[in-house]
Amino acid sequence: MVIVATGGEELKPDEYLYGKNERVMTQLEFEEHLVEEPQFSAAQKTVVMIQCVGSRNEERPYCSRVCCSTAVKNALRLKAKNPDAQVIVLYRDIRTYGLMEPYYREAREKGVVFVRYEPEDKPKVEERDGKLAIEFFEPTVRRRVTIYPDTLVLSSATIPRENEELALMLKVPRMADGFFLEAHIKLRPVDFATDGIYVCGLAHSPKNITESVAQAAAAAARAGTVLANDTISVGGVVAVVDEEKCAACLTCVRACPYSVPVINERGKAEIDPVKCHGCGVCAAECPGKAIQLQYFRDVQVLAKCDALYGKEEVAA
Amino acid sequence: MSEDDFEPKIVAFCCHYCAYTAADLAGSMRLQYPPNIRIIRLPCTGKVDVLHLLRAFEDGADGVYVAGCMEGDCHFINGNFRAKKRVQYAKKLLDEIGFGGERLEMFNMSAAMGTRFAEVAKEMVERIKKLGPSPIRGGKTKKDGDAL
Ligand SMILES: Cc1cc2nc3c(=O)[nH]c(=O)nc-3n(C[C@H](O)[C@H](O)[C@H](O)COP(=O)(O)OP(=O)(O)OC[C@H]3O[C@@H](n4cnc5c(N)ncnc54)[C@H](O)[C@@H]3O)c2cc1C
Ligand code: SF4
Ligand code: SF4
Ligand code: SF4
Ligand code: FES
Repeated sequence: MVIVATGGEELKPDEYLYGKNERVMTQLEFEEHLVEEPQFSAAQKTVVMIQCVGSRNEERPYCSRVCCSTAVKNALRLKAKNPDAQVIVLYRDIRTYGLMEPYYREAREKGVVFVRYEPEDKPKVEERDGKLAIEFFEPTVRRRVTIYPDTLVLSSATIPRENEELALMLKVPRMADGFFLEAHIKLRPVDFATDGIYVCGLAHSPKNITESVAQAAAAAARAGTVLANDTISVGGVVAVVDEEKCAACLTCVRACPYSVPVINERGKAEIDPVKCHGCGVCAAECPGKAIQLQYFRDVQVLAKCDALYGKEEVAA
Repeated sequence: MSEDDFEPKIVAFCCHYCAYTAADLAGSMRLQYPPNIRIIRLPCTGKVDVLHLLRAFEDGADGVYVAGCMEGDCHFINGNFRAKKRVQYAKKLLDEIGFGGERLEMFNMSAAMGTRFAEVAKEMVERIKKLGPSPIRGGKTKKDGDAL
Protein backbone atom coordinates (compact mmCIF):
# COMPACT_ATOMS: atom_id res chain seq x y z
CA MET A 1 0.00 0.00 0.00
CA VAL A 2 1.54 3.31 -1.07
CA ILE A 3 0.10 6.82 -0.94
CA VAL A 4 2.13 9.21 -3.05
CA ALA A 5 2.08 12.62 -1.36
CA THR A 6 5.43 14.07 -2.31
CA GLY A 7 3.98 17.55 -2.67
CA GLY A 8 5.30 20.50 -4.56
CA GLU A 9 7.22 23.70 -4.15
CA GLU A 10 7.52 27.23 -5.34
CA LEU A 11 9.42 27.76 -8.58
CA LYS A 12 12.58 29.88 -8.23
CA PRO A 13 11.96 32.35 -11.05
CA ASP A 14 14.56 33.17 -13.67
CA GLU A 15 13.08 36.49 -14.74
CA TYR A 16 12.17 39.95 -13.38
CA LEU A 17 15.66 40.31 -11.80
CA TYR A 18 14.97 37.56 -9.27
CA GLY A 19 18.23 36.56 -7.61
CA LYS A 20 19.92 39.68 -9.01
CA ASN A 21 18.21 42.38 -6.94
CA GLU A 22 17.44 41.77 -3.29
CA ARG A 23 14.20 43.77 -3.45
CA VAL A 24 12.78 41.09 -5.75
CA MET A 25 11.36 38.06 -3.92
CA THR A 26 8.73 35.33 -4.18
CA GLN A 27 5.43 35.28 -2.26
CA LEU A 28 6.80 32.76 0.25
CA GLU A 29 9.88 34.89 0.90
CA PHE A 30 7.72 38.02 1.23
CA GLU A 31 5.45 36.24 3.70
CA GLU A 32 8.49 35.26 5.75
CA HIS A 33 9.66 38.90 5.91
CA LEU A 34 6.16 40.03 6.96
CA VAL A 35 6.01 37.50 9.76
CA GLU A 36 9.61 37.37 10.96
CA GLU A 37 10.76 41.00 10.72
CA PRO A 38 8.77 43.48 12.80
CA GLN A 39 10.31 46.51 11.00
CA PHE A 40 9.70 45.20 7.49
CA SER A 41 6.03 46.13 7.07
CA ALA A 42 6.42 49.69 8.34
CA ALA A 43 9.26 50.31 5.87
CA GLN A 44 7.13 49.35 2.86
CA LYS A 45 5.71 52.40 1.14
CA THR A 46 5.04 50.73 -2.18
CA VAL A 47 4.89 47.04 -3.05
CA VAL A 48 4.28 45.64 -6.54
CA MET A 49 3.20 42.05 -7.08
CA ILE A 50 3.37 40.27 -10.44
CA GLN A 51 1.02 37.29 -10.96
CA CYS A 52 1.41 34.19 -13.14
CA VAL A 53 5.21 34.19 -12.99
CA GLY A 54 6.19 30.93 -14.67
CA SER A 55 2.57 29.70 -14.90
CA ARG A 56 0.19 29.73 -17.84
CA ASN A 57 2.99 30.01 -20.37
CA GLU A 58 4.30 27.62 -22.97
CA GLU A 59 6.55 25.77 -20.58
CA ARG A 60 3.88 25.42 -17.88
CA PRO A 61 0.41 25.84 -19.40
CA TYR A 62 -1.36 25.17 -16.11
CA CYS A 63 -2.66 27.68 -13.54
CA SER A 64 -0.89 27.30 -10.20
CA ARG A 65 -4.17 28.03 -8.42
CA VAL A 66 -2.74 29.22 -5.09
CA CYS A 67 -0.87 32.34 -6.15
CA CYS A 68 -3.83 34.69 -6.65
CA SER A 69 -5.18 34.00 -3.18
CA THR A 70 -1.67 34.03 -1.70
CA ALA A 71 -1.11 37.49 -3.23
CA VAL A 72 -4.42 38.77 -1.85
CA LYS A 73 -3.67 37.22 1.53
CA ASN A 74 -0.23 38.82 1.75
CA ALA A 75 -1.52 42.17 0.50
CA LEU A 76 -4.14 42.16 3.27
CA ARG A 77 -1.54 41.12 5.81
CA LEU A 78 0.70 44.04 4.88
CA LYS A 79 -2.28 46.42 4.90
CA ALA A 80 -3.20 45.22 8.38
CA LYS A 81 0.27 46.09 9.71
CA ASN A 82 0.80 49.19 7.62
CA PRO A 83 -2.48 50.64 6.22
CA ASP A 84 -0.58 53.36 4.35
CA ALA A 85 1.40 50.91 2.26
CA GLN A 86 0.47 51.09 -1.41
CA VAL A 87 0.03 47.65 -3.00
CA ILE A 88 -0.26 47.20 -6.77
CA VAL A 89 -1.02 43.74 -8.15
CA LEU A 90 -0.24 43.19 -11.85
CA TYR A 91 -2.41 40.27 -12.95
CA ARG A 92 -3.72 38.39 -15.98
CA ASP A 93 -6.89 37.00 -14.38
CA ILE A 94 -7.72 37.02 -10.69
CA ARG A 95 -8.54 33.47 -9.68
CA THR A 96 -9.54 33.74 -6.04
CA TYR A 97 -12.03 31.02 -6.71
CA GLY A 98 -14.76 29.62 -4.46
CA LEU A 99 -14.93 30.99 -0.94
CA MET A 100 -11.79 33.11 -1.39
CA GLU A 101 -13.62 35.73 -3.44
CA PRO A 102 -14.56 37.86 -0.34
CA TYR A 103 -10.83 38.34 0.37
CA TYR A 104 -10.40 39.78 -3.10
CA ARG A 105 -13.28 42.18 -2.47
CA GLU A 106 -11.82 43.12 0.91
CA ALA A 107 -8.46 43.84 -0.69
CA ARG A 108 -10.08 46.18 -3.21
CA GLU A 109 -12.01 47.90 -0.44
CA LYS A 110 -8.78 48.42 1.49
CA GLY A 111 -7.24 50.15 -1.52
CA VAL A 112 -5.13 47.42 -3.12
CA VAL A 113 -4.85 48.33 -6.80
CA PHE A 114 -5.27 45.58 -9.40
CA VAL A 115 -3.94 46.26 -12.91
CA ARG A 116 -4.33 43.82 -15.73
CA TYR A 117 -1.49 42.99 -18.11
CA GLU A 118 -1.48 40.97 -21.32
CA PRO A 119 0.88 37.98 -21.67
CA GLU A 120 2.31 39.54 -24.85
CA ASP A 121 3.16 42.72 -22.94
CA LYS A 122 4.55 41.61 -19.61
CA PRO A 123 5.77 44.21 -17.09
CA LYS A 124 9.39 45.34 -17.57
CA VAL A 125 11.61 45.25 -14.53
CA GLU A 126 14.98 46.99 -14.44
CA GLU A 127 17.36 48.83 -12.15
CA ARG A 128 17.46 52.61 -12.68
CA ASP A 129 19.91 54.68 -10.60
CA GLY A 130 19.99 52.08 -7.86
CA LYS A 131 16.21 51.90 -7.75
CA LEU A 132 13.94 49.14 -8.91
CA ALA A 133 11.75 50.30 -11.79
CA ILE A 134 8.60 48.46 -12.95
CA GLU A 135 7.14 49.64 -16.23
CA PHE A 136 3.76 48.45 -17.46
CA PHE A 137 0.77 49.47 -19.55
CA GLU A 138 -2.15 50.79 -17.47
CA PRO A 139 -5.28 49.98 -19.52
CA THR A 140 -7.68 52.46 -17.83
CA VAL A 141 -5.50 55.52 -18.48
CA ARG A 142 -4.08 53.87 -21.63
CA ARG A 143 -0.57 54.83 -20.77
CA ARG A 144 2.73 53.22 -19.86
CA VAL A 145 3.44 53.82 -16.19
CA THR A 146 6.65 53.36 -14.19
CA ILE A 147 6.64 52.64 -10.48
CA TYR A 148 9.62 52.51 -8.12
CA PRO A 149 8.58 50.08 -5.36
CA ASP A 150 10.40 49.09 -2.18
CA THR A 151 9.68 45.46 -2.91
CA LEU A 152 8.67 43.46 -5.98
CA VAL A 153 6.88 40.22 -5.10
CA LEU A 154 6.65 37.46 -7.72
CA SER A 155 3.70 35.06 -7.57
CA SER A 156 5.78 32.19 -8.80
CA ALA A 157 4.47 28.90 -10.18
CA THR A 158 3.82 25.81 -8.08
CA ILE A 159 5.92 22.95 -9.39
CA PRO A 160 6.02 19.28 -8.34
CA ARG A 161 8.89 18.25 -6.08
CA GLU A 162 11.60 16.11 -7.73
CA ASN A 163 9.78 12.79 -8.26
CA GLU A 164 11.21 11.12 -11.34
CA GLU A 165 13.02 8.37 -9.48
CA LEU A 166 9.90 7.58 -7.47
CA ALA A 167 7.73 7.52 -10.59
CA LEU A 168 10.09 5.06 -12.27
CA MET A 169 10.28 2.91 -9.16
CA LEU A 170 6.50 2.65 -8.71
CA LYS A 171 5.88 2.69 -12.47
CA VAL A 172 3.16 5.30 -12.12
CA PRO A 173 2.53 7.90 -14.81
CA ARG A 174 3.17 11.63 -14.66
CA MET A 175 1.95 14.44 -16.89
CA ALA A 176 4.51 16.29 -19.02
CA ASP A 177 4.78 18.93 -16.26
CA GLY A 178 5.76 16.33 -13.66
CA PHE A 179 2.52 16.06 -11.67
CA PHE A 180 1.30 12.51 -11.07
CA LEU A 181 -1.65 11.34 -13.14
CA GLU A 182 -4.61 9.53 -11.57
CA ALA A 183 -6.23 6.47 -13.19
CA HIS A 184 -9.31 8.42 -14.26
CA ILE A 185 -10.08 12.10 -13.70
CA LYS A 186 -13.70 11.45 -12.79
CA LEU A 187 -14.11 7.79 -11.93
CA ARG A 188 -10.89 7.06 -10.00
CA PRO A 189 -9.54 10.45 -8.92
CA VAL A 190 -7.08 9.31 -6.20
CA ASP A 191 -6.13 5.88 -7.58
CA PHE A 192 -3.35 4.97 -9.91
CA ALA A 193 -4.10 2.30 -12.51
CA THR A 194 -1.81 0.08 -10.43
CA ASP A 195 -3.62 -1.53 -7.49
CA GLY A 196 -2.66 -0.36 -4.02
CA ILE A 197 -1.04 2.94 -5.03
CA TYR A 198 -2.87 6.22 -4.43
CA VAL A 199 -2.08 9.88 -4.92
CA CYS A 200 -3.06 13.13 -3.21
CA GLY A 201 -2.08 16.71 -2.58
CA LEU A 202 0.32 18.90 -4.47
CA ALA A 203 2.03 15.84 -5.95
CA HIS A 204 -1.09 15.46 -8.09
CA SER A 205 -1.76 19.06 -9.11
CA PRO A 206 -1.66 22.59 -7.68
CA LYS A 207 -4.29 23.10 -5.00
CA ASN A 208 -4.77 24.86 -1.66
CA ILE A 209 -4.52 23.24 1.74
CA THR A 210 -8.25 22.55 2.14
CA GLU A 211 -8.31 20.76 -1.19
CA SER A 212 -5.12 18.85 -0.35
CA VAL A 213 -6.63 17.69 2.94
CA ALA A 214 -9.87 16.60 1.25
CA GLN A 215 -7.92 14.63 -1.33
CA ALA A 216 -5.69 13.11 1.36
CA ALA A 217 -8.80 11.94 3.23
CA ALA A 218 -10.07 10.37 0.01
CA ALA A 219 -6.77 8.56 -0.62
CA ALA A 220 -6.69 7.31 2.97
CA ALA A 221 -10.26 6.07 2.65
CA ARG A 222 -9.41 4.24 -0.57
CA ALA A 223 -6.41 2.60 1.09
CA GLY A 224 -8.66 1.78 4.06
CA THR A 225 -11.02 -0.22 1.88
CA VAL A 226 -8.15 -2.64 1.31
CA LEU A 227 -6.51 -2.51 4.76
CA ALA A 228 -9.81 -3.06 6.60
CA ASN A 229 -10.07 -6.59 5.20
CA ASP A 230 -8.61 -9.61 7.00
CA THR A 231 -8.11 -11.38 3.72
CA ILE A 232 -7.72 -10.02 0.25
CA SER A 233 -9.10 -11.82 -2.73
CA VAL A 234 -6.67 -11.43 -5.58
CA GLY A 235 -8.04 -10.56 -8.99
CA GLY A 236 -9.26 -13.40 -11.14
CA VAL A 237 -6.90 -12.40 -13.94
CA VAL A 238 -4.36 -15.19 -13.51
CA ALA A 239 -2.76 -17.71 -15.80
CA VAL A 240 -3.98 -21.32 -15.76
CA VAL A 241 -2.06 -24.30 -17.19
CA ASP A 242 -3.72 -27.12 -19.05
CA GLU A 243 -1.49 -29.99 -17.95
CA GLU A 244 -2.72 -32.18 -20.80
CA LYS A 245 -1.13 -29.82 -23.31
CA CYS A 246 2.02 -28.93 -21.39
CA ALA A 247 5.23 -30.44 -22.76
CA ALA A 248 7.39 -29.03 -19.95
CA CYS A 249 9.42 -27.00 -22.42
CA LEU A 250 10.26 -24.35 -19.79
CA THR A 251 9.34 -21.44 -22.08
CA CYS A 252 6.94 -20.04 -19.48
CA VAL A 253 9.41 -20.60 -16.68
CA ARG A 254 11.93 -18.44 -18.53
CA ALA A 255 9.46 -15.88 -19.88
CA CYS A 256 7.58 -14.93 -16.72
CA PRO A 257 8.90 -11.60 -15.44
CA TYR A 258 8.17 -12.71 -11.86
CA SER A 259 9.43 -16.31 -12.04
CA VAL A 260 6.03 -17.69 -11.09
CA PRO A 261 5.74 -20.87 -13.21
CA VAL A 262 7.56 -23.95 -11.91
CA ILE A 263 7.62 -27.53 -13.09
CA ASN A 264 5.72 -29.65 -10.55
CA GLU A 265 6.17 -33.24 -9.44
CA ARG A 266 4.01 -34.40 -12.34
CA GLY A 267 6.51 -32.83 -14.73
CA LYS A 268 4.08 -30.11 -15.79
CA ALA A 269 4.15 -26.34 -15.50
CA GLU A 270 2.32 -25.01 -12.45
CA ILE A 271 1.34 -21.39 -11.78
CA ASP A 272 0.49 -20.24 -8.26
CA PRO A 273 -2.54 -17.96 -8.72
CA VAL A 274 -1.59 -15.86 -5.68
CA LYS A 275 1.85 -15.06 -7.08
CA CYS A 276 0.74 -14.54 -10.67
CA HIS A 277 0.51 -10.86 -11.68
CA GLY A 278 -1.73 -11.62 -14.63
CA CYS A 279 0.33 -10.09 -17.43
CA GLY A 280 -0.32 -12.90 -19.88
CA VAL A 281 3.23 -13.13 -21.21
CA CYS A 282 3.43 -16.88 -20.54
CA ALA A 283 0.11 -17.47 -22.29
CA ALA A 284 1.33 -15.69 -25.40
CA GLU A 285 4.74 -17.38 -25.37
CA CYS A 286 3.72 -20.99 -24.66
CA PRO A 287 4.34 -22.86 -27.91
CA GLY A 288 1.77 -25.51 -27.02
CA LYS A 289 -1.01 -23.01 -26.15
CA ALA A 290 -1.17 -24.81 -22.82
CA ILE A 291 -1.68 -21.60 -20.83
CA GLN A 292 -4.73 -19.37 -20.80
CA LEU A 293 -5.02 -16.07 -18.96
CA GLN A 294 -8.40 -15.93 -17.24
CA TYR A 295 -10.68 -13.16 -18.58
CA PHE A 296 -8.33 -12.77 -21.55
CA ARG A 297 -8.46 -16.35 -22.84
CA ASP A 298 -7.66 -16.65 -26.52
CA VAL A 299 -11.27 -17.53 -27.33
CA GLN A 300 -12.36 -14.37 -25.57
CA VAL A 301 -9.92 -12.08 -27.39
CA LEU A 302 -10.69 -13.74 -30.72
CA ALA A 303 -14.42 -13.44 -30.05
CA LYS A 304 -13.88 -9.70 -29.58
CA CYS A 305 -12.08 -9.52 -32.93
CA ASP A 306 -14.93 -11.42 -34.57
CA ALA A 307 -17.56 -9.28 -32.89
CA LEU A 308 -15.96 -6.05 -34.12
CA TYR A 309 -15.69 -6.74 -37.82
CA GLY A 310 -16.17 -10.44 -38.38
CA LYS A 311 -19.02 -12.23 -39.97
CA GLU A 312 -22.10 -12.56 -37.80
CA GLU A 313 -21.96 -16.33 -37.61
CA VAL A 314 -18.38 -16.23 -36.37
CA ALA A 315 -19.27 -13.72 -33.67
CA ALA A 316 -22.20 -15.72 -32.40
CA MET B 1 -13.26 3.31 -54.09
CA SER B 2 -11.46 6.64 -53.76
CA GLU B 3 -9.29 7.61 -50.83
CA ASP B 4 -11.97 10.02 -49.61
CA ASP B 5 -14.93 7.73 -49.15
CA PHE B 6 -13.00 4.70 -47.97
CA GLU B 7 -13.49 4.45 -44.19
CA PRO B 8 -10.89 2.03 -42.85
CA LYS B 9 -11.68 -0.46 -40.13
CA ILE B 10 -8.93 -0.46 -37.57
CA VAL B 11 -8.43 -2.58 -34.46
CA ALA B 12 -6.23 -1.26 -31.65
CA PHE B 13 -4.97 -3.70 -29.05
CA CYS B 14 -4.39 -1.45 -26.05
CA CYS B 15 -2.56 -2.11 -22.82
CA HIS B 16 -4.72 -1.46 -19.78
CA TYR B 17 -2.03 0.59 -18.02
CA CYS B 18 -1.22 3.07 -20.75
CA ALA B 19 -2.97 3.31 -24.10
CA TYR B 20 -6.35 2.28 -22.69
CA THR B 21 -6.08 4.95 -19.98
CA ALA B 22 -4.73 7.44 -22.53
CA ALA B 23 -7.88 6.81 -24.59
CA ASP B 24 -9.93 7.71 -21.51
CA LEU B 25 -7.86 10.84 -21.05
CA ALA B 26 -8.30 11.79 -24.71
CA GLY B 27 -12.03 11.56 -24.04
CA SER B 28 -11.86 13.68 -20.87
CA MET B 29 -9.79 16.23 -22.79
CA ARG B 30 -12.50 16.23 -25.45
CA LEU B 31 -9.98 15.51 -28.18
CA GLN B 32 -11.32 14.50 -31.57
CA TYR B 33 -10.01 11.40 -33.28
CA PRO B 34 -11.41 9.39 -36.17
CA PRO B 35 -14.18 6.95 -35.21
CA ASN B 36 -12.52 4.19 -37.26
CA ILE B 37 -10.67 2.83 -34.25
CA ARG B 38 -12.04 -0.12 -32.26
CA ILE B 39 -10.24 -0.94 -29.04
CA ILE B 40 -9.56 -4.35 -27.53
CA ARG B 41 -8.17 -4.12 -24.02
CA LEU B 42 -5.31 -6.35 -22.88
CA PRO B 43 -3.72 -6.50 -19.41
CA CYS B 44 -0.36 -5.77 -21.07
CA THR B 45 0.76 -5.85 -24.69
CA GLY B 46 2.85 -8.87 -23.62
CA LYS B 47 -0.42 -10.79 -23.89
CA VAL B 48 -0.92 -10.01 -27.56
CA ASP B 49 -0.59 -13.05 -29.74
CA VAL B 50 0.27 -13.18 -33.45
CA LEU B 51 -2.91 -15.24 -33.65
CA HIS B 52 -5.00 -12.29 -32.39
CA LEU B 53 -3.39 -9.86 -34.82
CA LEU B 54 -3.97 -12.12 -37.80
CA ARG B 55 -7.53 -12.92 -36.76
CA ALA B 56 -8.36 -9.19 -36.71
CA PHE B 57 -7.17 -8.97 -40.33
CA GLU B 58 -8.98 -12.17 -41.23
CA ASP B 59 -12.17 -10.66 -39.81
CA GLY B 60 -11.82 -7.75 -42.21
CA ALA B 61 -9.81 -5.08 -40.40
CA ASP B 62 -7.89 -2.88 -42.84
CA GLY B 63 -5.32 -1.98 -40.23
CA VAL B 64 -4.29 -3.19 -36.78
CA TYR B 65 -2.06 -1.68 -34.16
CA VAL B 66 -0.79 -2.54 -30.74
CA ALA B 67 -0.34 0.28 -28.22
CA GLY B 68 1.75 -0.38 -25.15
CA CYS B 69 3.63 1.45 -22.45
CA MET B 70 6.75 3.48 -23.17
CA GLU B 71 9.83 1.30 -23.46
CA GLY B 72 11.15 0.71 -19.95
CA ASP B 73 7.78 1.62 -18.43
CA CYS B 74 5.90 -1.66 -18.94
CA HIS B 75 4.04 -2.44 -15.77
CA PHE B 76 5.17 -6.04 -16.12
CA ILE B 77 8.82 -5.15 -16.80
CA ASN B 78 9.24 -6.12 -20.46
CA GLY B 79 5.93 -7.26 -21.96
CA ASN B 80 6.04 -4.43 -24.49
CA PHE B 81 9.40 -5.64 -25.87
CA ARG B 82 7.93 -9.08 -26.41
CA ALA B 83 4.95 -7.47 -28.14
CA LYS B 84 7.31 -5.49 -30.37
CA LYS B 85 9.02 -8.70 -31.48
CA ARG B 86 5.70 -10.41 -32.19
CA VAL B 87 4.45 -7.41 -34.17
CA GLN B 88 7.64 -7.44 -36.20
CA TYR B 89 7.23 -11.15 -36.86
CA ALA B 90 3.60 -10.70 -37.91
CA LYS B 91 4.59 -7.80 -40.19
CA LYS B 92 7.01 -10.14 -41.95
CA LEU B 93 4.27 -12.74 -42.42
CA LEU B 94 1.95 -10.10 -43.85
CA ASP B 95 4.67 -8.95 -46.24
CA GLU B 96 5.34 -12.48 -47.38
CA ILE B 97 1.73 -13.15 -48.32
CA GLY B 98 1.49 -9.82 -50.13
CA PHE B 99 -0.85 -8.30 -47.55
CA GLY B 100 1.54 -5.51 -46.63
CA GLY B 101 3.27 -5.40 -43.24
CA GLU B 102 2.63 -1.66 -42.99
CA ARG B 103 -1.02 -2.39 -42.19
CA LEU B 104 0.23 -3.46 -38.75
CA GLU B 105 2.13 -1.26 -36.30
CA MET B 106 3.30 -1.04 -32.71
CA PHE B 107 3.12 2.24 -30.78
CA ASN B 108 4.27 3.24 -27.31
CA MET B 109 2.65 5.86 -25.12
CA SER B 110 2.04 6.61 -21.46
CA ALA B 111 -1.30 6.97 -19.71
CA ALA B 112 -0.70 10.73 -19.63
CA MET B 113 -0.54 10.96 -23.42
CA GLY B 114 -4.16 11.58 -24.36
CA THR B 115 -2.99 13.81 -27.18
CA ARG B 116 -0.61 11.15 -28.48
CA PHE B 117 -3.42 8.58 -28.42
CA ALA B 118 -5.51 10.79 -30.69
CA GLU B 119 -2.48 11.50 -32.91
CA VAL B 120 -1.72 7.80 -33.34
CA ALA B 121 -5.34 7.11 -34.25
CA LYS B 122 -5.21 9.84 -36.90
CA GLU B 123 -1.82 8.68 -38.17
CA MET B 124 -3.02 5.11 -38.57
CA VAL B 125 -6.28 6.11 -40.30
CA GLU B 126 -4.34 8.28 -42.76
CA ARG B 127 -1.86 5.50 -43.46
CA ILE B 128 -4.59 2.90 -44.09
CA LYS B 129 -6.57 5.34 -46.23
CA LYS B 130 -3.53 5.60 -48.51
CA LEU B 131 -3.16 1.81 -48.60
CA GLY B 132 -6.82 1.29 -49.41
CA PRO B 133 -9.06 -1.57 -48.26
CA SER B 134 -7.48 -4.80 -47.08
CA PRO B 135 -7.03 -7.53 -49.70
CA ILE B 136 -9.59 -9.54 -47.76
CA ARG B 137 -12.14 -6.83 -48.43
CA GLY B 138 -11.28 -6.75 -52.12
CA GLY B 139 -8.28 -4.42 -51.95
CA LYS B 140 -5.11 -4.89 -53.90
CA THR B 141 -2.33 -7.12 -52.67
CA LYS B 142 1.21 -5.84 -52.71
CA LYS B 143 2.14 -8.18 -55.56
CA ASP B 144 -0.44 -6.50 -57.79
CA GLY B 145 1.98 -3.63 -57.84
CA ASP B 146 0.93 -0.15 -56.77
CA ALA B 147 -0.56 -0.59 -53.30
CA LEU B 148 1.39 2.46 -52.07
C1 LIG C 1 3.99 29.31 -2.87
C2 LIG C 1 2.83 28.57 -2.33
C3 LIG C 1 1.91 29.25 -1.55
C4 LIG C 1 0.80 28.59 -1.05
N1 LIG C 1 -0.07 29.29 -0.32
C5 LIG C 1 -1.18 28.68 0.15
C6 LIG C 1 -2.12 29.39 0.94
O1 LIG C 1 -1.92 30.57 1.20
N2 LIG C 1 -3.22 28.73 1.35
C7 LIG C 1 -3.44 27.41 1.07
O2 LIG C 1 -4.46 26.88 1.48
N3 LIG C 1 -2.55 26.71 0.36
C8 LIG C 1 -1.42 27.31 -0.10
N4 LIG C 1 -0.53 26.58 -0.84
C9 LIG C 1 -0.81 25.19 -1.13
C10 LIG C 1 -0.43 24.26 0.01
O3 LIG C 1 0.90 24.55 0.38
C11 LIG C 1 -0.55 22.83 -0.47
O4 LIG C 1 -1.85 22.53 -0.87
C12 LIG C 1 -0.18 21.79 0.60
O5 LIG C 1 1.01 22.12 1.24
C13 LIG C 1 -0.02 20.44 -0.08
O6 LIG C 1 0.28 19.45 0.86
P1 LIG C 1 1.03 18.12 0.45
O7 LIG C 1 1.09 17.32 1.67
O8 LIG C 1 0.39 17.56 -0.76
O9 LIG C 1 2.49 18.56 -0.03
P2 LIG C 1 3.71 19.23 0.78
O10 LIG C 1 3.18 20.16 1.78
O11 LIG C 1 4.61 19.75 -0.27
O12 LIG C 1 4.38 18.01 1.55
C14 LIG C 1 5.06 16.95 0.88
C15 LIG C 1 6.06 16.33 1.83
O13 LIG C 1 6.61 15.16 1.27
C16 LIG C 1 8.00 15.15 1.48
N5 LIG C 1 8.61 14.32 0.44
C17 LIG C 1 8.77 14.61 -0.88
N6 LIG C 1 9.33 13.59 -1.55
C18 LIG C 1 9.52 12.61 -0.64
C19 LIG C 1 10.05 11.29 -0.71
N7 LIG C 1 10.50 10.76 -1.87
N8 LIG C 1 10.09 10.55 0.42
C20 LIG C 1 9.62 11.06 1.60
N9 LIG C 1 9.10 12.29 1.72
C21 LIG C 1 9.06 13.07 0.62
C22 LIG C 1 8.39 16.59 1.40
O14 LIG C 1 9.61 16.82 2.05
C23 LIG C 1 7.23 17.26 2.13
O15 LIG C 1 7.43 17.30 3.52
C24 LIG C 1 0.60 27.22 -1.34
C25 LIG C 1 1.54 26.54 -2.11
C26 LIG C 1 2.64 27.20 -2.61
C27 LIG C 1 3.63 26.44 -3.44
S1 SF4 D 1 -3.54 31.36 -9.39
FE1 SF4 D 1 -3.52 33.38 -10.33
S2 SF4 D 1 -1.36 33.97 -10.36
FE2 SF4 D 1 -1.43 31.80 -10.03
S3 SF4 D 1 -1.21 30.94 -12.07
FE3 SF4 D 1 -3.41 31.03 -11.63
S4 SF4 D 1 -4.07 32.99 -12.45
FE4 SF4 D 1 -1.83 33.06 -12.34
S1 SF4 E 1 5.51 -22.89 -22.02
FE1 SF4 E 1 3.66 -24.16 -22.18
S2 SF4 E 1 4.36 -26.16 -22.79
FE2 SF4 E 1 6.16 -25.04 -22.06
S3 SF4 E 1 6.33 -25.59 -19.90
FE3 SF4 E 1 5.12 -23.74 -19.98
S4 SF4 E 1 2.99 -24.45 -20.07
FE4 SF4 E 1 4.28 -26.20 -20.56
S1 SF4 F 1 0.59 -14.32 -16.35
FE1 SF4 F 1 2.53 -13.20 -16.18
S2 SF4 F 1 2.95 -13.20 -13.98
FE2 SF4 F 1 1.42 -14.81 -14.32
S3 SF4 F 1 2.63 -16.65 -14.59
FE3 SF4 F 1 2.24 -15.81 -16.63
S4 SF4 F 1 4.03 -14.58 -17.10
FE4 SF4 F 1 4.05 -14.95 -14.88
S1 FES G 1 1.92 -3.01 -18.99
FE1 FES G 1 1.60 -1.70 -20.71
S2 FES G 1 2.74 -2.76 -22.21
FE2 FES G 1 3.10 -3.99 -20.46
